[in-house]
Amino acid sequence: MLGKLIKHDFRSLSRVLLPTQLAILGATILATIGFAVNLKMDYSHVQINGVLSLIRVITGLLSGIMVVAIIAASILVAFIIFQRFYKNLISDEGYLTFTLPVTTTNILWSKLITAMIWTLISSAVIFVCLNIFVLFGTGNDGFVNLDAYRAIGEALNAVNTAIGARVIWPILEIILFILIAAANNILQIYLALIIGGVVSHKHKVLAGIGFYFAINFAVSMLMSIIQFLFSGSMLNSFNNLNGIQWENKNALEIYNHLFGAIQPYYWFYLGLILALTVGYFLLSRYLLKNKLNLE
Amino acid sequence: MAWQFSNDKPIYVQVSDQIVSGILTGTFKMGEKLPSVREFAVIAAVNPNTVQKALSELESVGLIETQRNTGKYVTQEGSIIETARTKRGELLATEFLKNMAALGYTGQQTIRLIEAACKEGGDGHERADA
Amino acid sequence: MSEPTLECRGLTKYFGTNPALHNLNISLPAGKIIGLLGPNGSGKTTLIKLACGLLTPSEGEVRVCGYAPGVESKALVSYLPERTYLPDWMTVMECIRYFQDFYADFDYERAVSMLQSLQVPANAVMKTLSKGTKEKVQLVLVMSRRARLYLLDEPIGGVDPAARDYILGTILKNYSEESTVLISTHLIADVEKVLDEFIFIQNGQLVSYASTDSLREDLGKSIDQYFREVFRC
Repeated sequence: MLGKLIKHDFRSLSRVLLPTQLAILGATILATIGFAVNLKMDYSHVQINGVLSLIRVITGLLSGIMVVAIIAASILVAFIIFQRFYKNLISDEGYLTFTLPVTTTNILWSKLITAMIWTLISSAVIFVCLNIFVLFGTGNDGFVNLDAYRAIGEALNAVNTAIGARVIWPILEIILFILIAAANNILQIYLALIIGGVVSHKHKVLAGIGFYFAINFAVSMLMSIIQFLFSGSMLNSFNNLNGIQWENKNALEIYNHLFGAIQPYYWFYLGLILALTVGYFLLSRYLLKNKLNLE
Repeated sequence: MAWQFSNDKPIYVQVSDQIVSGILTGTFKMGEKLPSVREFAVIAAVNPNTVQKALSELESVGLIETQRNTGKYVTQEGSIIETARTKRGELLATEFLKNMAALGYTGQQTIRLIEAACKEGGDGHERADA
Repeated sequence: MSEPTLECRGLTKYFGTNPALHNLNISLPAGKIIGLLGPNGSGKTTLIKLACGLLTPSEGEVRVCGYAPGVESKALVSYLPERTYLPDWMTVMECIRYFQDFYADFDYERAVSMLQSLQVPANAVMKTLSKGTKEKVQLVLVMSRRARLYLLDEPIGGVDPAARDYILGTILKNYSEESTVLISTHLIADVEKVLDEFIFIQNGQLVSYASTDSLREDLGKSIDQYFREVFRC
C-alpha cells in the first residue's frame, strides 16, 4: 500500500513540477547560448552600434532570466509540495485520503518520501544547469570551459594525497546531515499545517503559517538552552585544540584532530535533529488520527 | 413501469396487491415466470426485502409457486386465480358502496346509476391485454 | 453473516464540551437498507464519520464487521460524503484507476458501464464537470465497490428528480444480502419506499430504530409523517 501511495503522490507532484524543471533547463540553455555568444563577440574592433548593444542587453537579460527561473522554480517546488500536502490531507480531498484502507503512518511516509525525492530532483536539476552554464557558456577560447573543473580536479587530488580515502567519512556525514535536515524541515512544515487544520476551521493556512513560526521559535529556544548547558564542555574542547602545536603537524594529523574534535558535537546535534524529526512525525500522526475533523 | 405507492401503508402489502392485480389483469399470465426479487425491486423502486415479503405472502396463498433453481412462477391453477379475482371484486364492490353511501346514495340508487352507466359506455369491460 | 455490519456500544463523541453523540447503542444487520434520519445537528454526520474512521470516539466503541476503525474496516466501508472529495485535477478515468488501485473490491466494469449510461466522458477533468455530474461520478465510484457497509450522506440532496430515481435505482440494483446501506437524508418521503428500517436520532441520542413497514402497519402513517410528529419544532 505504501508503494501505491508513493506512486500516486509522486504522480500528482510531477504533473505540476516536471514542467517547471523543464522550464529551468530551457532558460539555462538559452542563457548559456547567449552568454557564450556574447563572450565570443569581439567588441573591440567595432563601434558599439545599436545591434551589438542590443545583443549585449539580451544576453544579460537571458542570464538574469536563468537566475530568476532557478530561484522561482525552487520556490515553486517547495510551494507545490506543501500545497499538495494541504489539499490532500487538510481540505476536502482528506475525505478520500483518510478513508483509503491505509495506515496514517503510511500516508505520512508517502508524503515525506515524495517531498524528499522532489527536493532532490530539484537540487540535481539546478546543479546540472549551473554546470551546463559554466561548462558551455563561460568558455573564452573554444567551446567548453574546463578551467573550473581542472581547478576542482587539482584540489581533489591534493586532498586525496594528503588525507586519502578516509575523506569519504566527512562527506558521508555531510550527506547524512543534509538528508535529516531536509526531512526535519519538511516535517516541521507538515506539522504546522496539520496543527493549523486542527485548531482553526476557517483559517487553516494562516494558522498553519503562524504555528510554523511558533515551532521555529520553540526549537531555537530549545537549542539555546542546550548550547548553554554544554558550553562548559565546548570550552574544554576548544582549549584542548588550542593546546596542540599545529605547526608541527602534517595535513593528515591536522585533519584527524579536527575531525575527531567535531565528532561528538556532530553526532549529538544530529541526534537532536533526528529526535525532533521523529517527534514531528509522531505528533503529526497522532493529530491526523485523533484530532483532525474535516468539515 | 414505475409503480405508485403511498407511504402510509405497509409497502409489502401494496406490492403484493399490485402483483395480484397484474395476475388478474393478465399482465402476468398463468404459468409465466416472474422477474427475480432484485429485478422486481428495481422496476417497482422498492426494497428487495419488501418484495421478498410480498412474494412470500402470495406464495402462501398459492398464487405464486417457486420452482427450485429456476425462479418464481404464476400458478397454473385457474381456481386459485378465480378465488383471488372474486375476493378482489368483493373488496372493490364493498369499497364502492361505502363511498357511495358516504355521498348519500342508497343501495338501490347506486344500482340504478350503474345500470345507466352500463347502457351508456358498454360494460366497461376492457382487458389489459386487449 | 451473524455479526452486525455496524455496531456502536456506548458511543460518545464530544466536540469541546458539546456532546455530538451520547451513549449510542445500536446494531445494524447485513442485507438491509436503513435510513438515518434526524434534524440538523442531530449527530448523523458524526456517526457516519466515526464509522469511517474519520473521527475517534471520546467514549465507547464503534465496530464495522467486528473491526475497530482502521485499515481492515476502511476496506469494508464505502463512503459517499455530502461534498465532492475527488481531486479537481484528475480525469474521470484517473479516478476510476485510483479506486481500482486501492480497493480490492472495486468492480471496474461496473463503474465504466455506469458512467457510460450516464454519458459522462471518461477523459473529462473533474474540474470541468458540473456539480451534479461530479456527484454522479462519486456515486458511481462508491457504488461500484462490493463493500459490506455503504454510508451515503445525503445522496439525493440537490439533485433533480430524474437523477434521484437513478440514484435510488442504483442503490437497489446494488443490493446484496451481505451488505448494509445506511442512507442519511432529509428527503424522507422520496426515500422511504426503499428503506427496510429507519433510525431516528436527535441531540446525539437514539430516538427510534424500527422497521418501516411495521411502523406503517402499527400507526397507519408514513415515516415522513411520523418524523414530523416526533420532531415537531
